[in-house]
Amino acid sequence: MLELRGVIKRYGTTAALGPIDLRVDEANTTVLLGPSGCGKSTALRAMLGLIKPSEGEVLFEGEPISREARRRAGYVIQDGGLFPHLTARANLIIQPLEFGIARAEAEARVSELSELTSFPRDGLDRYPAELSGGQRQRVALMRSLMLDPDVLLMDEPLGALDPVTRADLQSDLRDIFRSLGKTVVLVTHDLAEAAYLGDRIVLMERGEIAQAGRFEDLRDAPASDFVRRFVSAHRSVPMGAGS
Amino acid sequence: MVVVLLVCGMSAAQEALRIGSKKFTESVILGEIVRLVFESEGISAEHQRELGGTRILFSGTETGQLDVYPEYTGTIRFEILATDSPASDDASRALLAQRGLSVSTPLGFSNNYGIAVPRSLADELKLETISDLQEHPQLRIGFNHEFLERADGWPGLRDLYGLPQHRVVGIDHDLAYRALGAGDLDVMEVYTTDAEISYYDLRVLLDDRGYFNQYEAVLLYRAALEEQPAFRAALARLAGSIDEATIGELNASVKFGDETETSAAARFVATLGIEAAAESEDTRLGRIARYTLQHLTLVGLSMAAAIIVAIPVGVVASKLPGLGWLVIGGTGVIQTIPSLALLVLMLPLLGIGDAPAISALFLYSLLPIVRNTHAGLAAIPPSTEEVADALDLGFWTRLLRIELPLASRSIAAGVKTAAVLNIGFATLGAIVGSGGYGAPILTGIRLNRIDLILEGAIPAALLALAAQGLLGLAERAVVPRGLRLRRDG
Repeated sequence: MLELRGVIKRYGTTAALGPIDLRVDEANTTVLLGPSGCGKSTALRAMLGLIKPSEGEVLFEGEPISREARRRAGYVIQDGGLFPHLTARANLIIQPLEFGIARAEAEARVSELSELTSFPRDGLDRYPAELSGGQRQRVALMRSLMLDPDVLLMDEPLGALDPVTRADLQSDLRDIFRSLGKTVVLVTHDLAEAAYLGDRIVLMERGEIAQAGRFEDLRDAPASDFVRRFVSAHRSVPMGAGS
Repeated sequence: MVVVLLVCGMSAAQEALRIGSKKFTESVILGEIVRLVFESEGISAEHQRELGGTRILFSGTETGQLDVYPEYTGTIRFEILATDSPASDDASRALLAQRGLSVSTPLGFSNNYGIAVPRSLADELKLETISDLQEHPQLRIGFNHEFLERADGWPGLRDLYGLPQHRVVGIDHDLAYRALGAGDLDVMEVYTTDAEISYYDLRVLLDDRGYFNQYEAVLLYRAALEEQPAFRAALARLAGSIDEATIGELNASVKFGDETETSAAARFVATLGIEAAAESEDTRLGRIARYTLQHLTLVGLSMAAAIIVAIPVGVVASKLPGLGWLVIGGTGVIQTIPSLALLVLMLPLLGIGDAPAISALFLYSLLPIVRNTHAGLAAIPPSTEEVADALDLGFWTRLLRIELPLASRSIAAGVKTAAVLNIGFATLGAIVGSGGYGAPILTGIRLNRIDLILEGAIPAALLALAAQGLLGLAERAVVPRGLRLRRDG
């Protein structure tokens, strides 16, 4: 579905990412995991074509990523990235209207998605500042799904939330991912979240892939000392997670 | 509606003969005398009082915005035509003729430059002549800015007499009298017909080396007017009609008596056998209403133009960073041009009246709006831009639905700043004849009348406050509600 091939991204002379080769499989949830500054967000942006790699190429269904392809991907950033001057509803319909979808159709999609994400209907006409952190994140998720994209890319979508809200939203997200059957790429630094949500975990270190596989592979057969330390730093994770 | 009024005002003005006067009492009185004499000859005339200095009046006449104004032969020869340095007044006439201008027969009196000191100080230091000043380098001198700069003013005087004083400041002529009266200055230049010379008990020092030239009062006018018999008849009546004693008395009765320039002028023309029409009743409220309309015209038109131009310029500046610095630098440079200089720079292009004032105000109002538009757009977080990229919003949707609304608070603040500055600067419009609250302020400074100064200053301050308030309300309408909420999450 999505593929990074020999991608390197440099800022000045420092390499922020790569070289990296990564394939994202269809209808699967892939989690990019790693400590801050490991290049996981950069990899996500490259997948979406928001940044241009210094070297290598990004393929979307075998073709180089294009604007048209980008429209088939939904994107959610850490704090939701809602436009603060627009109501939740206006945030949701701005993109459909931009692409010529009738307002009634867009509104119907809003109803459908607020059902799916259990977002309260009376919150639709509130401004982001009037919503809780969890609600804002649900709106951001809805917005990324408005055009029914094939791929959903999420950058630390739960990073700014308190633990209880976070736990709620994690389980909601897993249900949503399963019911939609979409290809999902999610960035997090939290191993438990990765284990809970991801079918496949890609652990990154200094711009490169340290190990990719199921949570159990990382736990039971760490490919390097870094992987072992990263997993053991999260030893409070209940071992049943990810099953 | 304002535009319609303005246009009507302009076309009406084109039919009457337009007389100008400089911003000192004698010039205003002469302007009124000229108006009354013209009217007695059946010429409808309009007097634009106390426009700034020589440069403004001369440019106005040369470009046809004015028809006639009182001038002095020395000023024509040594200042207006200084670069051609005509050898005589006849040579001046020939040079003016090439520019379509003409000079009347002298009106009868001279108003020469002189150097004056308070009589008490003159007695104490035994000052009789300008040469006597050489011995007293400590004296504090105040000259008006024009005299300070012009070739036949201070530079020439200093060189001829070898004057050693270095404490020389530029100060408004009327304020200089008050400074001498209060003992803050010792020496100033005077016009020999000034009523203040006796009022402040000054001694005019003898020009023992014959530095100052003759400044005979004349009328400078557009030569084409000579074709009208009535115009020639009016000039003939004025020729040689006013002597030094007469003008001195008229000046004093306006400056220190309660007489208006119009009534002093009417009293004078009565001696020529002309009965002036009764002065129309001019109530304070009526005047303030008129100034307010003029002021609002200046501010309203210049602000509207500035907003229409500055916001797009600010947007372009933020989209093209290289050009942005150039634009912001450019508007910043405009801001550093002194307002008076900017007005005078406009004169050759736009003449006098509302056009140069509105243009100057427009230029001054650009910077705060351009800069705040740019700053407001630059302050949009990169994550917001990234989301707009990810949603693949088009240029216009992005600009109109996302970026400008997010920058609206900053833009509104810029507009508010510009409006308050604009209302203040607009008082200078009076200098180029566009009226407004500056008109009574100028007159008040000239006549030392606090009540007239306040007649302009108080409404100007109230207008600035009202603009703040109204724009604050407008801001609530323009800035989206979502931006005014405090985030609680």
